[in-house]
Amino acid sequence: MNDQQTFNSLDPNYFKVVIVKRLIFILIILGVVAFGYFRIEPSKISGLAFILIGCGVLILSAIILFSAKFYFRNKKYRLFDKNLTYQEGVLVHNETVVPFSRIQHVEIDEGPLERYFSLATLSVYTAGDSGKDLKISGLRIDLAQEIKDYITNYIKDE
Amino acid sequence: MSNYSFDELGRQSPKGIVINYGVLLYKLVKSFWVFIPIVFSDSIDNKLNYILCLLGILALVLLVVAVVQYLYFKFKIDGDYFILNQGMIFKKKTSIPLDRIQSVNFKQNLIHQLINVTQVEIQTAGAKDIEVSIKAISRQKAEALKKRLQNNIESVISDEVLNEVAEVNEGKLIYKLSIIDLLKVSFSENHIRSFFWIIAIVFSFSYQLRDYFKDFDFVGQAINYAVNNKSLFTGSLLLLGLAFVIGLIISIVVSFVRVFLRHFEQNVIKRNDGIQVSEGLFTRREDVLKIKKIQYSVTVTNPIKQKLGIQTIKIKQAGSAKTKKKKLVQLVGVKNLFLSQLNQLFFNYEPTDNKETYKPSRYYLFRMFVRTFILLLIINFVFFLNQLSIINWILANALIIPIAILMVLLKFKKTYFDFDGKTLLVGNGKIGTVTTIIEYFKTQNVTYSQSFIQKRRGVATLKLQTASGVIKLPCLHEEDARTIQERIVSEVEGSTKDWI
Repeated sequence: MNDQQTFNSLDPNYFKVVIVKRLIFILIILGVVAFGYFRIEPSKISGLAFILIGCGVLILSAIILFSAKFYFRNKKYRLFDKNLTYQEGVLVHNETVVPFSRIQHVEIDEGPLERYFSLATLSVYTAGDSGKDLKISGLRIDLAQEIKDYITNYIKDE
Repeated sequence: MSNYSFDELGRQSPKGIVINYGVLLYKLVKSFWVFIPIVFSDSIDNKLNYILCLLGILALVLLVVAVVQYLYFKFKIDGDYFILNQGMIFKKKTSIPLDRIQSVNFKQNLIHQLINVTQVEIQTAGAKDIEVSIKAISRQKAEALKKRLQNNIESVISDEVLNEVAEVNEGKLIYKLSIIDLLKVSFSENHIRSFFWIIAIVFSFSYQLRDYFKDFDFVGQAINYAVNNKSLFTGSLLLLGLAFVIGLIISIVVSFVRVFLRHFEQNVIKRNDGIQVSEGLFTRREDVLKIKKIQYSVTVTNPIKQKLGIQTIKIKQAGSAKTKKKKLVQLVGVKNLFLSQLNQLFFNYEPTDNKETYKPSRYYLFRMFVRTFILLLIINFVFFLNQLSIINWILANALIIPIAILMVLLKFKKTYFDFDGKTLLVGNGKIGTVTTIIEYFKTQNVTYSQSFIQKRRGVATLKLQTASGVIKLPCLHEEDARTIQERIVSEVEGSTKDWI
């Protein structure tokens, strides 16, 4: 199913999903700024302040788009003999190992954007704090299903 | 056997209405207590009638709600399931497989004791936590229900346990906290913490208090004086010293009251698969801890407690995040002998000589100093905003900086990670000493975390997720972190023991 020794990258299509999501986010920010420009009376805010805000937003947008590459590149997973390992993070790099024997259940979610590229998110739940569990986005739907079945079978056999 | 049957849907005792009503009133007061002073202020006098009217209607509505809650709260045991139906408009049907029930606890507060009923709390653990609390049934019925639920648990587990049921019901008293020990515990509590707490409260209320005490007595005058002449007040060391002494005395009194209310006559009864802890002065709490369910324990002590030869043990069980804080069981005034008995009982742990000790890298010390430095900068900025005089500024810094440095050094010295057989001991603490003990096969997942600064320094932080919160091993050398991570993961994968 996968190379068991090395870490696997996510589906290349997921990079597109990340870019589209970030573009939408930037559009919303630009929308808010534009709304502010037309609503606030010119007398209350100087032109200079507005140019500064505009520049700030542009730089922020550039950072958001540029960092998407690292965001995507750093996400990797490895399905090992008895555990699932996931790496992610740009500034803080995290690698989480979840032994199969501690997994409570596995879920697959598909958002509308992901579904367009036939991708899915695999969530793995343990009894640790919720929110600290594994969520692997950007897997091909059939691959996600395959991994889910593999883990579920492993848990059942125990 | 008792003559209570739980096969049909049944309600709790009608006295439950009283409890429901009490809970509702308490919730109401709790969410609107901020407005209570308004009722007593002058400006509202002419509207008092309206407000009383409103309160009366509200009280009536709540009474109706309490009755409806009672009427629509029904439970039964159906085969292998505990069934609970509740709610008139928002109906909720809960069914809990009996073998998923972890423990059944009784609770009685003052109202329960007055009307002679017991609250039963049913705890479960799983992917989705369900928690059921039956507000009021008679003690006998509660006992019968507990027996019914727990007999089921045991019959599911194994026949072996069934043979020992007689012994289960007996139990063996293994620990009892005497009044002298209780005094020792109260005396050695962390008064400084309660002291800061009181200061925070006094400052946030001092402005409001001024209004009420204005015409009364000298306390009001003093507060008034303090609020109006802030600079004078901070300048007067004598007054500050006096306030400190008074505050400390109040904190000690508060600690005594708190410890006596919570831990009065604490005793531990050993059953064959767990322990039962009961404690409390007015509200007796009874908690049943299954040994399997215990994830790890945290032992806390401080120099005074060490002199008195006692320590506090916090027992962390598997449970949902919501109930974690409430259900935390603390054994206070534990002596060394009993501590090693408990470690043996909970974790099968006995200290050996071949420990493998890991220490955080020196980078951890460096990081703590940087963080302390930033904190000191912020504090000094606050001083600057308050226009502190040069002498006071130097005095304050001369006091704070050595303390801060000492704390960092102490913390670095007291942080260690010991592997002793199948057990991991994590040391922590500044003035106090904190030791976390975990059988590390109970770890849920392990995260190897490295910020870009840590990466440059060749260190990483390990986070062990357990079913009762996270344990952090900060700033280890990379190779140490990898070794520990592999050791824990292989132990978890290889273990066939139940973690719950």
